[in-house]
Amino acid sequence: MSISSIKVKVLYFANIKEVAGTREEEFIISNPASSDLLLRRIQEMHPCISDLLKTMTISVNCRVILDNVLLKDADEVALLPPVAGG
Amino acid sequence: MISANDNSINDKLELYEIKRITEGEISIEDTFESIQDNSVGATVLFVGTVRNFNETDIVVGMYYESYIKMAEGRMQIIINDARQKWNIKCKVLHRIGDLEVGDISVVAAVSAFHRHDAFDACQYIMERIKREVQIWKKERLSGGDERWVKGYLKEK
Repeated sequence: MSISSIKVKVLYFANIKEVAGTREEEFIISNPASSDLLLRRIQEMHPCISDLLKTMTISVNCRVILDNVLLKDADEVALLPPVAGG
Repeated sequence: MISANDNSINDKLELYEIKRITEGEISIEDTFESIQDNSVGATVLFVGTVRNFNETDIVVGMYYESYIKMAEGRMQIIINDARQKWNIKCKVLHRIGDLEVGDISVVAAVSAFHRHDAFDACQYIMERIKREVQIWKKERLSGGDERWVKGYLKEK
């Protein structure tokens, strides 16, 4: 992998995991890379999850992000459906 | 927002033993014992179990999954916040995996000098757990269908 790109791990949970058909996968994206860019790449890979994304919370390394952020190599990004514990 | 990997928070966690996502059965007695000492005069135990119906459907089981490290970090934050509000000891356990009707899915145990603090803190903790912790559940219905339970909208 060249220094001009980074590799991030993407995790899917619950219904979005089933729609995407995978629990986790890796994306290699050009650096600098933003979370918005990654989300577009994820939607290109899994067009069927676009509707679900509207209700998703996104986390990077277990921190919820509310805006577009810069990603770095080895970041762990998760797509989190509305929670339903208890 | 505090990372689940924040070491300072993990240090505090050891003092209060406050979080756990588990695949094993939850023992009410062990949870109760873990928050007792001679200064405690009141303990409130909330026990959540898998119910056999939802809306008009018969439920025969529930599957729980979690983003464990984030969920445990969030539980930790909730407990820390509760401890800022009340002088309590507490332990919260949430089970994941395949559960049957009647199985215990969650226990929130809170002890305090007096009952009002224990009741209020337990209610506060459970409300936030249901709205904020990264856990999802899928119902197994009597006809064989399965469906994800609708969750709370975005945590912001």
